[in-house]
Amino acid sequence: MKKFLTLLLITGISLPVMAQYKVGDKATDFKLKNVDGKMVSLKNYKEAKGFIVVFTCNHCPYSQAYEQRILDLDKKYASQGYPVIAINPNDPKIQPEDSFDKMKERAVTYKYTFPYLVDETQHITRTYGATRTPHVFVLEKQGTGLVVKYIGAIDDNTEDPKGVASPYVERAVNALLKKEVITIETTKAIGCTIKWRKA
Amino acid sequence: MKQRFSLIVLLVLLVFTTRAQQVDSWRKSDLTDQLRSAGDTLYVFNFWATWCKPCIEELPAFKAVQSELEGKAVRFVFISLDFKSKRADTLLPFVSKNMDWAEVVQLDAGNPNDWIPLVDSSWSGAIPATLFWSPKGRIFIEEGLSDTQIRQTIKTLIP
Repeated sequence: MKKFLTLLLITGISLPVMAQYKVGDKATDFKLKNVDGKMVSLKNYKEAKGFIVVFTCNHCPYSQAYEQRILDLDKKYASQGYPVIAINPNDPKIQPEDSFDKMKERAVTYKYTFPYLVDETQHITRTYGATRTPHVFVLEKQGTGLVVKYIGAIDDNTEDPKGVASPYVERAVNALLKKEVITIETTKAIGCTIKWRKA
Repeated sequence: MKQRFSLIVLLVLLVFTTRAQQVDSWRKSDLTDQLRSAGDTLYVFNFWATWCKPCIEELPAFKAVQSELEGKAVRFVFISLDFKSKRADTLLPFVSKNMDWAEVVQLDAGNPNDWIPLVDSSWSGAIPATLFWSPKGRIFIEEGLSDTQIRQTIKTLIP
């Protein structure tokens, strides 16, 4: 702890008060603006069994590398009750490529079948504890609430979809659908840092 | 004959370009070995990529501090996470043009979920990220750094 404090002093990092989700935590719903201008909340999805929430963006090559796979996840799982919800967490002042207008363009160009929301205040991004793009949170509906069931990468091979040995998100959602235990609940992956608003 | 001559020219060129700026490839075992390095040296491992804007922005700070410490037992390694497919057309030209002062390697270590925790258990995987370590301790920082931050971190760890 002392070392940690020293580190904070040394680096001058100011940590925002952040309740970073862990697997098993209750997840909060949100109301965020979609690229079509409408507000989206998870509670509007009456039929859903859960959600594949993906923090992603336009500019990041790692997000781009996963774009088709995110579309494939939605194609495969939306009909089974686990739609993809994409959220762009980045401040467009720092990363102009991630502006709302560019989000709209991207959603059209790549024919997004899922909502692509903007987290303008970055409150949801902080609450969930996303640190990079892409960063996935699989949520399961339990009663009236939502519970975090998986946090991490989409799979184990960003560069080569054919070289994937462990499709983490697919396995997690398959397990949820079959009411089985998720064997790998959290993973780490390389990604682009979230572009936080300057205070 | 003419063909053979072109081949030789090509080879000579290849040798020279490689020598101009060598970028080794590190497998997971290389990373593990390197992270075990000891002795009276301070190691600075910076994880970066050509596409990562904040990574590129902090390079001048690293360059400045590295040159101030010339002759000291400090080793900076810039570990690129560029895709393997981008090595020839993006990484190598970038390094030749902008990083002739730096020791650059490209990481080819397989599933990130297996090697990210080896670098630091707190690392989520976002870059830039930098690990400083010496016999005096280790400090891991998952964000872009200024020259002052780099200098101060090194000061606390220098053997």
